[in-house]
Formats: sequence, C-alpha cells, structure tokens
Amino acid sequence: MLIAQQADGPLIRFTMEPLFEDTGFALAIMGVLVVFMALALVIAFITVLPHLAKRTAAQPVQTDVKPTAHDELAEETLVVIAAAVAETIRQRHRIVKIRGLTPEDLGWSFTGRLQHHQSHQVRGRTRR
Amino acid sequence: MSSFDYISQKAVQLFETTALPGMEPGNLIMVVIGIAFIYLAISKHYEPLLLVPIGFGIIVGNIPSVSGMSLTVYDEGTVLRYLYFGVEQGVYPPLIFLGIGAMTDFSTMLSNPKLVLLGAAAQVGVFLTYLGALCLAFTPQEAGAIGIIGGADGPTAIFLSSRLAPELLGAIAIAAYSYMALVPVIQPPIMKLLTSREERLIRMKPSREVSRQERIMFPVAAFLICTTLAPGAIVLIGMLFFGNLLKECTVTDRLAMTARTAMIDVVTILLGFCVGTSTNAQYFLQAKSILIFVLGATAFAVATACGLLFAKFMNLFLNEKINPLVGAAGVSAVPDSARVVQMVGQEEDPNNFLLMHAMAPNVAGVIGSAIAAGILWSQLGK
Repeated sequence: MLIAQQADGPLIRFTMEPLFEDTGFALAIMGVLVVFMALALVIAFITVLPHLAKRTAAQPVQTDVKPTAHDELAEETLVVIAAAVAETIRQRHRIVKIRGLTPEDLGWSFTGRLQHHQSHQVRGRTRR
Repeated sequence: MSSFDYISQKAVQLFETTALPGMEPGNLIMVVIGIAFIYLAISKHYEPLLLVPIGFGIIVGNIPSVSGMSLTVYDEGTVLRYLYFGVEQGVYPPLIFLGIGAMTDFSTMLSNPKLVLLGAAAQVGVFLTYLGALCLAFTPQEAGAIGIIGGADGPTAIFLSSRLAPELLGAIAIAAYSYMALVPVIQPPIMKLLTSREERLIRMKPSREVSRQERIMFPVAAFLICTTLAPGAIVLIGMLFFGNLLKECTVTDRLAMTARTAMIDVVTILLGFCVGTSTNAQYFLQAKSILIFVLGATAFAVATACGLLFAKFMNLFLNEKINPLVGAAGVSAVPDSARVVQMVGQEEDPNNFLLMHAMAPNVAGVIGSAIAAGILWSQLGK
C-alpha cells in the first residue's frame, strides 16, 4: 500500500507479510515471554531473599562497650537544633528525638528524594 | 593581472577554503536542531547532561569540511572517528550501565517485588513497535533496533542499533535521547487518559527496610537469573549489576564512586558528543529517519500505556491496590519517569508520595529493556 511518494520510491510501504515469518509474531511473543519469565524469576528470588539474608547474616557480636561521647551529639549541637526548631515552629512543641544520620540514611534514595523536591518543576501546571 | 583581479581571485580561493561552499540547506536545518537541543537543555532543563553534548555534537557534525580534508566522523583516521569507535562498537553503553548500576538503589524494588512486573509489562511496547516497524518494511534487524527505543533507555538503544543496524545508529540514538528528554511532555497525557481520578489518588504503603545482605545478594543472583534466560544481555546486565555490587558491598567505595561520578561523566560526554556528530544531514535527513522518529514516539507511548494498563490489570487481583500511575515508570528512563509519576500523582493529592514506589518499576524497566535488547540481539544478530 503506497501512502506517500518519494522521488526514488515510496516513502512508506505497508506490508503484513513479515509478521508471519519466524522473525515476526513468533519472535515478539517469545521476547515478551522471556522478559516476563526472567523478571518473574527475579520476583521469586526477591520474595525469598529476606529469609536467605537472615540465614546468612552474621550473628551480632555481644559487646559490653557503651557508646562513647564520640557517638553522641554535642550538647551545643542539640541546643542549636532546638533553637532552630523553636524559631521555625513558634508554637509549643516537644522534640522527641534527635539523632545523627547513619551511612544507610545517606543512601541514594534519600538524597534523590531531596534533590527531586529541590529540582526544577517538570511541568508548568503543577500545583504548589 | 590587475590588482582587482588578483584580490578577487584570492577572495574566491579564501571562500573555497571555508565551510560555506559545502553548506547545504540540510546542514543548516541540523545546526538549528542542534541549537534547539541546547536551548531546551539550558532553558527547559530537559536532560541537560545529554542534550548539551548531543546538541553541540550535531552542530559540529554539520559543519562541512573542505574537500581533501578528512575531518568528519565518517572519514577513516580522523579524531572524531576514533572517538566514535566507542559508539560504533558498543563500548560506551556498557560503561554507562556500570555507572548506572553504581548509582542505583534497588531497595524499593526489593521491598515490593510485585512492582517488578510493571517493568516487564512496559517492554511489551518494544515488541509491538518491532512488529510495527516490520509492517513498514524495515528489515528485522532495523525493526529490532527501532523497537528498543520503547525501552526508553538511550545506552541500550545505541548498543542494540550498533549491533543490528549501524546505518540507523544516528537517527535511533537521537530519537531515543530526545524522547527520554521529553518524558515529562509525552507521559502525562497518556497517564491521565488511561487512569481515573480515583485511581490516581490511591496511596501505597511505605516500603519496608531492606537489609545490607539482601542488597548484596540481589545483583549476583539477578545477574545469574537474567543472563541464563537471555545470554545476549550479559554485557549490559552484567555491567549494571557489577556496578551495583560495587556500591552495595561497601568495601569498594572508591570504585563505586569513580563509576558513578567521573567515569560515567566522561563516557556520557563522549557518547553524547559522538552521537551528535554522526547526524550529518547527508546521512541523517532521510525518509527513514522521519519514520524512526514516528515509530520511536509510538514505542514510547505504547510502553507507557502497557505499564499503566498492566498495573490496572494487577489491581483486579490485589487486596492492596497499587496506584496505576507507577506503571508508567516501567519505561526505564531513570529517574525521569518516576519523577513524572510523582508530579502527576501530586497534582491530584499533594500529600501522596509515589516517587519511591515508582522507582521500583523504573529500575525493573532498566533490567527488562536490557533483557529485551539481549533477546533481539541474540535472535536477529546472526
């Protein structure tokens, strides 16, 4: 079927024949099935992964070492944070917990979320 | 010879040694396109890390060289040709996958495994577009390279087209990266069209915490699973999971840091610039390129729709419903499509945070598109 004409031949030629060859429907269906099968196996593995991880996880070593002052936040830091919170909220409030970030907290997902909220507006019609 | 004739003769000689005599209208069109890419990157923030190198590369690739001088990416022995080697032989994309792996956090996917299926569903768009390209009389190899644009993964598209249809590499790369940059424009209308307001308001439970052991075991096991079924994906998937292992094992921080910063930046510059330089109007402005752009847009839209519709299908069987918007993140434009899910979701409910949920199908889409590329390569690359 000729849809448009170019100087040296048709611009668009439409044919159904290739669909019924080995590289047509057969390949497409096989491709979709393999992708689904591979990711289904990944899902199965992910589902049992927590149990596997628990088994392989090393037992925590019992120590009677108490946290040193080095692990705790300095009193001055706590005062500064409390002052900043009071200045921001300007209402009666209670700070329940203040703790330093662990390496896990500093993961990509956390910083990614922060960057996302600080990044450009993707669309102009976004309500803010 | 009068002094006037002498000056005229020299002026003509000078003119002939400039790029102006060889400048065709097509080159001017491409230069304008290159400038438009740079404008979109700088003013609209559309994938600036990609569009600036590509845009400038387009301008460089469309300045005609003087006859007798070998300068372009198509001439043997030129500097640009050597740089282009990494694109032509598929060297750069796996290196980019290494960097992507080193910056990807699979935790959200590990904490909600059912969302992985959405990454698989979006790959249906790849194979539907492949069939569409076959109907338009592309060869199976060309159709495979075009279809993978629906995977919304630039490096994968470049890798596969360099293996299957190197003559279409420029058009496919530009189409793939253009549509990746246009994710915030292409996806929202499809997402709104295929979902009701009630569906967009669905809130999902927060993800569980994933242990370090899980995050270390996952890349090794997932690599074995994926490449056993699709060995063609060894290069891309292997580098992706290798990079992720470097990150998660925490004993190779220096390597992971290099992979996700300096190395991926260097390769992105080279890849983007070289792809841009390969778009000389003489080779690029052809009827096939237009078809590739149309099919690429179709692939992207179909992949988005497949992810969304599959999420709705899954909701028929799930007690804890998933917000179908996250299905749109099954295309592997990381993290842009997840961002778009977040933005569209927040338009309905500003307190609904879908970003981390959308990251699950998003990274699953990366794996899915690499597997799809591996299948197409192994079946069509003979």
